[in-house]
Amino acid sequence: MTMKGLGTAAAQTENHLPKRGYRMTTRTANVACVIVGCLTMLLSSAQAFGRQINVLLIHGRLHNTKEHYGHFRTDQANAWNGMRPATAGNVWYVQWDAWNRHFDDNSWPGGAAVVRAAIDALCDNNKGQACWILCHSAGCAAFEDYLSKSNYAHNSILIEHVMAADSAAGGSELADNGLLRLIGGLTGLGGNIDNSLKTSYARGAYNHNNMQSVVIRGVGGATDSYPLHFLIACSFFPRQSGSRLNPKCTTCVAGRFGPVEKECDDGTVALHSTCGHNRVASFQDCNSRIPPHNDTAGTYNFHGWWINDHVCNGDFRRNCNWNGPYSSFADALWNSPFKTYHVDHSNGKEVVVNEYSAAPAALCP
Amino acid sequence: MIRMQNSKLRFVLAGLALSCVITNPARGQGQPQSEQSPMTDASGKGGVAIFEDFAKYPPESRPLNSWNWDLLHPWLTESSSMSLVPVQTLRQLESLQDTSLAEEEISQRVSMPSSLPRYQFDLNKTIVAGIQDELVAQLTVTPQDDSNTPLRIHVTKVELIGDDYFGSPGLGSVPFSCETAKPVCTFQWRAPSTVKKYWGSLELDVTLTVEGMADEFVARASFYSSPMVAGSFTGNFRERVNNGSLMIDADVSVQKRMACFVSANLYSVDKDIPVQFAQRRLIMDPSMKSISFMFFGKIFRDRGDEGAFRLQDLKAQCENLSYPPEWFMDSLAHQEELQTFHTNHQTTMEPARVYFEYNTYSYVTRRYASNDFSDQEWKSPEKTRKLEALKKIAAELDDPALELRKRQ
Repeated sequence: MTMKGLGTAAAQTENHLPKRGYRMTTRTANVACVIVGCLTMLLSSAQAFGRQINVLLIHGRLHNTKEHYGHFRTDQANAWNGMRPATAGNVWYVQWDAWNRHFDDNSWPGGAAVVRAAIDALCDNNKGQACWILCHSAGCAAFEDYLSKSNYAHNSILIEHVMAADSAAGGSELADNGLLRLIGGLTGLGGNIDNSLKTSYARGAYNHNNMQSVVIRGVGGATDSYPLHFLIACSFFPRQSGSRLNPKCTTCVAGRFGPVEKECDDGTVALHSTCGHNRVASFQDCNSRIPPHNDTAGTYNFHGWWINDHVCNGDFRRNCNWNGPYSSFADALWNSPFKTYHVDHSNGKEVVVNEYSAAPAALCP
Repeated sequence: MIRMQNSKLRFVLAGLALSCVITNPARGQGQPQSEQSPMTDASGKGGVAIFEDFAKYPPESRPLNSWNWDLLHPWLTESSSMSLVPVQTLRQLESLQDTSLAEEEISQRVSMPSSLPRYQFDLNKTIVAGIQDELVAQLTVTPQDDSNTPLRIHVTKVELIGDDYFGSPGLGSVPFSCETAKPVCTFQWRAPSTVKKYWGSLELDVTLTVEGMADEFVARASFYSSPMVAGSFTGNFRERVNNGSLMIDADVSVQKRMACFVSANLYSVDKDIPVQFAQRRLIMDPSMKSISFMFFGKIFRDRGDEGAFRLQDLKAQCENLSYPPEWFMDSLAHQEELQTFHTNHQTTMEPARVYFEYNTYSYVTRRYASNDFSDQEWKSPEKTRKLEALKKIAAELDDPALELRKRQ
């Protein structure tokens, strides 16, 4: 789903992608190492990386009558706002009719049909290919639908990593209420896709657990600043009271004298969807079923957050392996205790593109 | 001479590069420093470990736990409570769609009551399969404030709306009854026929008023309807042990040749807890008389499950395809045909899913001892090939040159 971001902490959008991937001892040491590494690489060709790395960007709900459908080297529909992740491989924009078609539509140019064609063409190990996936909103639903219904464990497709921004794979309560047409600058338009983004439809379309070992790392937006907040907040998304509530979420009060409640969403999709929870309910944080985590409170298999994997000695933020966020952009938005990002529904895209660019190549080449 | 110098230089530089890798914390993140399970490594090595762990059991047979809410409720998606936003407020917002007002101005112009009643639909199911299957939707309206006085509601209109792929046709009213003492109404619906307009994503719209409030409200509930079915289970089952796994054959009557996902849950009868989930991905053909569910031996062994087991929650979801199901089953092998088909055929827009008829069949097995089952991991040529591919790419991702190539 595309939405114009308003007044969030992420307003400092960077057109260029930051190169800060991880902490260096000193700038000088860094430069020296790069020079040495370059020379070493030039003089030693034994380590050449022959594989074709393809980074696929799959957009979400989008109304663009001029869009061509398929997979392209340029973002013809500008669905990613001109962003392009830094990579040692090739960037491909997967463009499907995310307005007139449902995400699980197997006829062209439906979501499942276009994603399947792109992955078959670009992610086949038998052709020396491997893929990294960046998806946004309904694009994540289209990708997961493809993967869940594929014979991935039996075929030659290689998908190394999936970064899911603002995933609508679990559906949206705004779609349930016919309100997606109000999103995107009050266009008043609704597309056929909206029906497929209803919570019951999105969750009933495919087995969300059947990712067949491909890990889906979600960027879940939890913020109280987004368009039409006055209408949407406290009205449609599930909420809860109690302790350990996410301070970045919207505060609602149950009645004049009722308890304080919090609802966590990005203005379009709630955390139950963006974080891969297996039921429509109020969640204050993202959980994970990606090893070493084994959430038993209700997360789909192989789903978790981007990215902080090795929990060590109480220090979640530093001195741990695979300890993101890697970019300054995402680091500023990261709500570590809750594994959410302080972004609205549009800014999640920037988080995943910046993070892919800044992450170590061993993770995001 | 030049060659020798080059060689020496390469040695020195390699040493320097190695020292950079060792001393630089940046590299430490790419290559985990402390002892840990390989699965905690997010890079290719971790991917290998995760696949190895996943592939202990075949993809078609998975452990099932109490926290797998969705798998334990295969016909239902829960809904949460929402505010009843006045129809007038939404109309106001829509009327502003052509204006270029800033959001702040819009929020000032739109009157949003400070306290709104809330509603919740409790549905017995969100997938209705066949014309015998019935949706029961209970609507409850609650006050937003803490008033002890129960609300009184009046339902003024009930309408079922069809799928947008068919132009969102009005499908008429839906029978309902309301409790006199509580703001609770129950709606019941079953597809009157297999006509296509009853197929797809349907929406139940209930227009109501609340006593004491001037506004009109709409409460909505959505569900998926598959009035036509691809087949049905007959309720006949047989069991056997094959290669150390429990096989349960369920008899079927298939009406249409389709690519389907057929699933079932297995429970321990003694403990009344979920044990395994089986899902088959296959072409269902009218010539088929039964389908076999495999419950993998090692899952029983690893969990210590024994005794009698109950098969239940049988479900078959089939893909509505405009091309042969073989192409869907192995799209890699049929890329060219699919591409040609997509180029040359204008496809009609239709809902994506057709189900087997809803059923409540269950089957209880005889008693089994744990050692009736095999402790062997899943083995297959496909698994071996996938694992080799993942190991190869993990090794490639370890190449320090990749980092430089990315940063160029």
